[in-house]
Amino acid sequence: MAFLFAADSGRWLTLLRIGLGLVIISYAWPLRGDWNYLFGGTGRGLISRQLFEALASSQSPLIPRLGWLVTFCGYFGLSENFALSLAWALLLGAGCFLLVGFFSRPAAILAWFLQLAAAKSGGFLSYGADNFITIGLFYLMIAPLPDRWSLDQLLAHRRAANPDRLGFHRRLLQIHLCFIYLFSGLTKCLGAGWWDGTNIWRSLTMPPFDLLPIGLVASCAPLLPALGISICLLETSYSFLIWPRWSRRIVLCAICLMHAAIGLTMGMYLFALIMIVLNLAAFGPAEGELAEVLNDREARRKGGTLPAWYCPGPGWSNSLDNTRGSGEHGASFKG
Amino acid sequence: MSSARHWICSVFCAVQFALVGLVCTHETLWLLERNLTIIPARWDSLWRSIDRAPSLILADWKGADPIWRTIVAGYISGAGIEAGYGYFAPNVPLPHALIFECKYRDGHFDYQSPVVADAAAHLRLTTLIEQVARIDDAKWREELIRLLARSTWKRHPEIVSIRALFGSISSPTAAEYRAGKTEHTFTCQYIYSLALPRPEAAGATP
Repeated sequence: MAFLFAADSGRWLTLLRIGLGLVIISYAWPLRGDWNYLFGGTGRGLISRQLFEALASSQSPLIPRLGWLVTFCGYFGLSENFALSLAWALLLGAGCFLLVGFFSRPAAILAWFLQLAAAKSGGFLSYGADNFITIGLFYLMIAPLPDRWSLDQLLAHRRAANPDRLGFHRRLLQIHLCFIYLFSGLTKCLGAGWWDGTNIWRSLTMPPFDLLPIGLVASCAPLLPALGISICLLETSYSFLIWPRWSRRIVLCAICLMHAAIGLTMGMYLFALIMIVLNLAAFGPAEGELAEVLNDREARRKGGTLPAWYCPGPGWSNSLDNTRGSGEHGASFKG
Repeated sequence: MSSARHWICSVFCAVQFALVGLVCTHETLWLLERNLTIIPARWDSLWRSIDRAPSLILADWKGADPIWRTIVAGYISGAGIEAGYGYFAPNVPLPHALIFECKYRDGHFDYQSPVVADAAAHLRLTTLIEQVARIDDAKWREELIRLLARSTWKRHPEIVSIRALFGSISSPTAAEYRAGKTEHTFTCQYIYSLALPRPEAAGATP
């Protein structure tokens, strides 16, 4: 229980919100010229939205899809093109709102719904980055929004979330990342190509990921096996080495560096961005603040005051409430 | 947080990560069952028997209860956890390509491929081609290629017939490259002669 509900300042949530806002903008904006073509219906687009939507529907009718919006707009005599353009504009708008933290929760829900709908309606056009964006938006949507540094908080001075609740939601993201890297690392270890460098060579030289000149990759060929093994080891050990304080920064830097390298050398910018955002939100800053919380809890037992962020809004007092005995929180609500 | 809330959150956490673990295990076992890894093939039956549990819980089998399947599939899709995380694993497959041999009204031929405007969309198109390559069902594969051919026909209405060539591209290995081999080789795996309806008849605007 204590592991799951460790108090947190909520800075990670700000990072996740801003990061996902950037990710959504980076997802939607480059697709502006192709959006309607990619998600067009049979005979109007690249492939067929209806076909993939039928597949998604056969799995579960609860899975969101763009066809719902198209049908809804159809009731008002609006065309499929209009509905798809509306979906794109709403998604971009949700990304901008997330970036500044305006109507944070509605923006998070809208972004999650539209991104998931696009991923499911796109079917085979979706790839790993879409999955990770859905994961990020899912956790953001259920997290205690608005965060302390959002425009919502600035304008409305709403009561900030309970630090334990913030800590719990951060823990969810942290555990999920551990699962991701553990299984990603294990499946890589099961392939011979990661041990002899073949997979690195192939990843860097196959179209459309061949951004680097093949001659340059060939000149580094002796290093490729070591690079492949390092990636396997880094991903597999992430789940264990990210927790101890002594290794956290090293592992976090290494994994962010790996994703940045994937983005720059293979052109998978969106994938790199979402992974870096998730990692920084989960294990990045607020380390010091966590320690501060623990120190404050200790101080509370002896008598003292809490940091300002721990007593976030009107109606809260930052005086230490020793009358609650060994209760979890130092802040008390007067209202 | 109240103690009831603590419990609700803890149960949610347990369910969420049980599902994540099951999906990942299911996908890893799928790779093992099909001998796509370095693990010896003689343990196939073991992986299959272990995989029964995740398949049963995730309702990923033919006789699964439809309501259970709907709920589980709906939730895992919504949470973005319906797929494992074995990207580029266990091995990076050969890339694939789809080329259309187009015959025009005046009798000349040229070669086209599905086109999108931007690099971001091109990455998605590449994913689509790779997914088509993984399809075992020949009819399903042909239908997808037919749909892609139709979009090419829409861009060039003067085309009278299309032959789709689908295959893999092999790049030189590091050793081959150093020995002077620099070209990529396209190995055609499937050829489809597509009798497509005229774009007007399909309701498309050229």
